[in-house]
Amino acid sequence: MLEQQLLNALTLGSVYALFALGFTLVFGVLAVINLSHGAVFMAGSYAALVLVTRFDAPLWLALLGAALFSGVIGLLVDVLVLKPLRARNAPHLIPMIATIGVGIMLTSSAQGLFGAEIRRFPEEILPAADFVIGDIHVRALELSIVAIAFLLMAVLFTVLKRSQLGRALRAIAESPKAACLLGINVEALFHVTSFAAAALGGVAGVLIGLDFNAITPQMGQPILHKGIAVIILGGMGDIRGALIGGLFLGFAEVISKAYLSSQMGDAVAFGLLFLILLIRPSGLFGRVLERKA
Amino acid sequence: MIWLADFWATYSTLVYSVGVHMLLALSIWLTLSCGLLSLANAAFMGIGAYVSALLTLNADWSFPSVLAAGGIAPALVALLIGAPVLRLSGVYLAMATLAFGEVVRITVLNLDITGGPEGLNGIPLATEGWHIALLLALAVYGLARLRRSRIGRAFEAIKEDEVAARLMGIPVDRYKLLAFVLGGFIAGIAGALNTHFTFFISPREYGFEAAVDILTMAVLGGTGSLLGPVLGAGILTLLPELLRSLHDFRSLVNGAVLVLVVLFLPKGIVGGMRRKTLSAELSTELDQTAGKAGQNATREAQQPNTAAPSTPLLSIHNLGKHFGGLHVLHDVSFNVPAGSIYGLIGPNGAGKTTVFNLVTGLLPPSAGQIDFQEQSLVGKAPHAITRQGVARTFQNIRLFKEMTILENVMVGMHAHLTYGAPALLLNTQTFRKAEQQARQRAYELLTWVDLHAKADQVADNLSYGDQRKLEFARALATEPRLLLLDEPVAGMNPAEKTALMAEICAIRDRGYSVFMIEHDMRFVMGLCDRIAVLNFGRIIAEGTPEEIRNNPEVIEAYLGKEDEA
Repeated sequence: MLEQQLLNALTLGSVYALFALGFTLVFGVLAVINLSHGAVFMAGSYAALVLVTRFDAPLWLALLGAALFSGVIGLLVDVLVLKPLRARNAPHLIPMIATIGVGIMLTSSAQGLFGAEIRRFPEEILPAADFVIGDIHVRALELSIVAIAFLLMAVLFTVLKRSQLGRALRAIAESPKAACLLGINVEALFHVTSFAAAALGGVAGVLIGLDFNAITPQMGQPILHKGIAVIILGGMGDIRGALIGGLFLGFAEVISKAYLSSQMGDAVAFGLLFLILLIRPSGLFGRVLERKA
Repeated sequence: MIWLADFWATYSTLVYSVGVHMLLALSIWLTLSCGLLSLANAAFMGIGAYVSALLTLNADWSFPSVLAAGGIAPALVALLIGAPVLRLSGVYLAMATLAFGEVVRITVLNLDITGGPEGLNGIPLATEGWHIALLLALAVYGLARLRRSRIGRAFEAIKEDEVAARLMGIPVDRYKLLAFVLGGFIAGIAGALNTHFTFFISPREYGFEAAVDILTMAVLGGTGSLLGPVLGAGILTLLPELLRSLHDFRSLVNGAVLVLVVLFLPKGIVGGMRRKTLSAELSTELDQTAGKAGQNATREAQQPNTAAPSTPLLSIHNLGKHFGGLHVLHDVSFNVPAGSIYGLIGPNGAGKTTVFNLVTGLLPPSAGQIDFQEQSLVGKAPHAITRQGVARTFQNIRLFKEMTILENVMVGMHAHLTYGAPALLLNTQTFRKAEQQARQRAYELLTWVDLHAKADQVADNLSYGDQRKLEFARALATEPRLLLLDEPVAGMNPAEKTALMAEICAIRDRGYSVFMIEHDMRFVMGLCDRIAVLNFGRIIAEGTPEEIRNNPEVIEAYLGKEDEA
């Protein structure tokens, strides 16, 4: 029984981590709390649904399409909304509010186009295989979710740690001004980051949509709350922290639902967060990084 | 008039909601005006709603007492969590208050007494239109009065620059707590009003979305004035109703309006209407009086300098400071005699500004003693040190940039304006007189530094030299006995330097003492009575300008050893 719960927790946690990675990446590089990230996640889900149901696309193609679709939304938000705000040096509250507006627009468009009711992927496209290992019932779907999430995270980590692009991004995270003086094309990298973060969010949306097989216009909201929780826990803007925080939250949620009342588990989680913020505002893994720009 | 009755029957709830939202937007405006990005107001509203509803349902309290309790309960919670939470700033504060909101929501969701996820039902209808109108009017009036007082100025100063605000004698932590608690109180009242016309409460209404909605209303309308949040709340509440025909797409317009306003109206819909501190007639009146008072703008220092010259005003003894393993100051000792101009010089990175930061309480010393008028300053808060008579300027000028020049100086008088909240709210004689005198005195100080003609301009618009002068006038406004000047002539042209030199001599002659850091040797040597030289965190020489000029160790520190070349 515990093993089964651990597997569920790993599945959920890896998707949370994937979602939170994009969220924290944007915060780290652009210094914006992007509250449209939940809606972008939802948009990815619908994009995959349309590809699968209208165009009979296979699942892998639907995932790719969703990543692209969400990524383009993220890019557009950066170019059309965040860039003008950067140009006039708006205080950090302002871009956050703009992204709330974007989120409302996306959610309401989805509701207008697809209705408020739950949409589902056709059963036949889901990987149907099941394994039984000992007492655990393993769905191939869950395994694929964990595999895809971890694969993407590994790619992201490698890029950030090893490539020139990653070094440039980390430089920007420290100080966009200094990075700019070093000849880094900061604006271009802001666009790249926005695209990549939103693409990761879109994939996370498809994975959650598959896991629960339920897609609604509002599905971005609860995960946005969780994303906020994860990046507080892991340290805002901290990539490694988002991974660990996401997994932790997945485990906390599944375990508390299984062994405590489902709601009180959340209260404990957020109570803990509140305490963490008071004691260590930089999160469990983060450093205090006051940006001087 | 039948159509009116029909209209009211259909839309009264909507009109009530508009009023409640206006109150909520004002509650967050208050915390924002103090620079606090707190998103706790939805939770405070929820606490007010539940407390008042439970008192109505279970304890049968009267409506006015229920309303009061609905405001007081969240205010108490705010008081309790305020001290730890308000240490955070910016985004971290926003996140912590959001997490607090979630804790409140989930707790309510799980308690039996609050009805769990179903919430509470059958709350009797008690709120009437005039209740909301009256409370809204009171809130607007109270906040408008607050805004025009020393408290409003203190809030704005804290928002602009917390450190500078502390050094103007403002107890920053207490004022932040005040804004937080008062915001909680107003939000709680809004919650109590709300539940008593909607018949039921559900925990869903007070979560993340509500928190974000409240913020959005204030920012959409514009936080530069009180009209902004009121208007923003009205628009955001009515817009979805007006767009009913768009069905599922109606919030699309809501979102688009929000994005467009943020993009194209940076200061919100109402924009940056600035209150005038100085009306035209007041300005002429001030000019007339200032003509006479101009010369004696700097008062005699409060206690004339009767002490023997040997008694130091500021005495620094074995002062040490290290940051981790980095030792910035070792065993620094010197005395600033009363009534003198004292200079602290030394190469870059010698630790001069650190000495100022220790004296003004911005940093705690690692070792040693700092005595001012024979009282220890160690462990005192910056605002308390300012109140004792120490004022300073900054190397990299720290003005309240969005405030007018006159207001900047008036912030400096914070500690000397002592009227209380009742006087301020009722606009009493005491209040008006105190404010009038403060304005007058600020104007005199500005006349003295020759900035009076620009008194109504925003400080950010001033030239570099003028900004230095304003900072100087602002420091004098705190009525110090000792004035610390951190590189006062940096970036000034020779004419400005000469003028400032005369001004510094003038205030010394009036019994003030001056302690300055300066790189300009001609300025220091020409002005200072005594000089201390700091190098690598140690005092290497102390004495009269003549002694310093001829001290071989000083020459070595500045020019290097002869045989090294």
